[in-house]
Amino acid sequence: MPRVSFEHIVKSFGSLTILNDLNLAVDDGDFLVLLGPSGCGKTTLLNLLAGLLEVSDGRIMIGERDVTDLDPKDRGLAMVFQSYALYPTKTVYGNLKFGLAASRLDRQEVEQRIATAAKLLQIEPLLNRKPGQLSGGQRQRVAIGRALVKQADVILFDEPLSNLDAKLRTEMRLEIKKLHDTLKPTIVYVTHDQIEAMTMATRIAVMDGGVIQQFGTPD
Amino acid sequence: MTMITQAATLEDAANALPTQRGPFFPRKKKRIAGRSIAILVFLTICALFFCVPLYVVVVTSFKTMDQIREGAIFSLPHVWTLEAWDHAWNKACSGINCNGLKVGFWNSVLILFPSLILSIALSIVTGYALALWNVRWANAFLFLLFICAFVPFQVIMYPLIRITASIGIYGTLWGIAAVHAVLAMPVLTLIFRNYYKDIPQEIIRAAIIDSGSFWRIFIEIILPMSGNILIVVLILQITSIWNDYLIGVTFGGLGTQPMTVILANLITVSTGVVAYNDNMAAALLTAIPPLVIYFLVGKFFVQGITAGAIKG
Repeated sequence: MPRVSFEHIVKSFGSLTILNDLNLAVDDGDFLVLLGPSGCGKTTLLNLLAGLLEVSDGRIMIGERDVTDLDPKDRGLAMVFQSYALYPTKTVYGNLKFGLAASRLDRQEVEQRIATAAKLLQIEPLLNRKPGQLSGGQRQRVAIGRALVKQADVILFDEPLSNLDAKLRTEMRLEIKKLHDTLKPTIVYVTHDQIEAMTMATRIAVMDGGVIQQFGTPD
Repeated sequence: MTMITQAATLEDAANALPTQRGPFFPRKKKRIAGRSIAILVFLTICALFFCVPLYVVVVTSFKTMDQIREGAIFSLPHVWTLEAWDHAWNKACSGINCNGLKVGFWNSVLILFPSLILSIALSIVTGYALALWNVRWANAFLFLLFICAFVPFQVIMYPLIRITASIGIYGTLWGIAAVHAVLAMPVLTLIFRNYYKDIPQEIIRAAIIDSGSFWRIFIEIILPMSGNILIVVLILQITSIWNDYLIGVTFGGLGTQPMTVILANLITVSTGVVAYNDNMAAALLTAIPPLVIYFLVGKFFVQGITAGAIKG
């Protein structure tokens, strides 16, 4: 049973077609890396899955639900952005809490999820700081934390490490891999870095020109 | 070794002669060139252009009528008196009402707050929607707003009177506030929309995934990021609402005329003696409130104009 599947996806902006009849299925618990050069349509595909863009044709399934026409908040996804996209006026705690804005959880549950995520990512001492007072790596952790508190089955990553320096990137790579091993969410991860793809993925889809050229395991 | 000693000597030299710091990169002393003298003269003339009339207004307002009759408008008052200020504030006549400017002042205050709240609330939400949400025909709407910003008020004055009369708010504070809100909306919406366009798209995308609620994102994420631009708009609006004459005189009823209208009535009285000192004091009284606002929040105003980027 695939967790996420794209069926005959077409996406065009005006007369420009980015994706044409694309099919892809990700199994439950897989770490799928979408790999490809800039402009190959991988981020577009991710945004379609998140609901930030609308498909021109085709169907997107998450589990057994057809989410093609659902709003982003109703798709049960979490997303980590390239620029971290932290809310600048909220504290780290506020950022994590806003991640649960759409869910109707009671206070205690919210507190507990934030505490768990903060502990897992070692950002507990930072909870009262604003994003402007954090380093790049710390911001990255908060962004991941905001995705984790939702306890979503599917987490999307849009080139999350490209703003970090080389050393931090290696560290965060391991960390994300470790998170995947412990929590076993389904991950769709977009990058153009082949090393990231080879070290983290359980499945790699190589894209070029809006088409999936290769699909397989890193080995 | 030589390097170190050299460095040490340099340091010693610097310590010994603190007044002659930085002799290694000597700079020419700046001299005032002919061109900058010309600029200075020009600027001085410009400044005088504003300052001389202001000086006359201020000194006249403190003089007695007896001294004003002597005709030396630049002379300082022989006796400094607040009589004219008191008279203008408490006793000056607008038409048959002789309660002074203070009536107009309170009317202006009463007009100011609803006008401010209405105009800013209307345009901040419109600007937010246009900048950050997918609104159908957004560009056409923006273009329309842009055109509206250039329509002179006088052109739509009569239709506006009919509209406000038909909904029963003509001649009331709310009529004035509504007209202020409508007229300010095009420009303010464009200001807010351009400011919000600079917010990184990923932040709003993250918020859409996290919450998805138009109002919740606005109140929790966007509004706290709008401090700078709110100050700018606040100052613009306070000044323009306070200084407005035409809307107040057209849409205000007898009891709701703003300070500017009362001021004009005081000064255009055609019977009796022209009380120059009263008139000058009244004019200054009317001009003071926006000035006070400038002094209080002027610092933020400059910050707001120059701060374009919202960096995390």
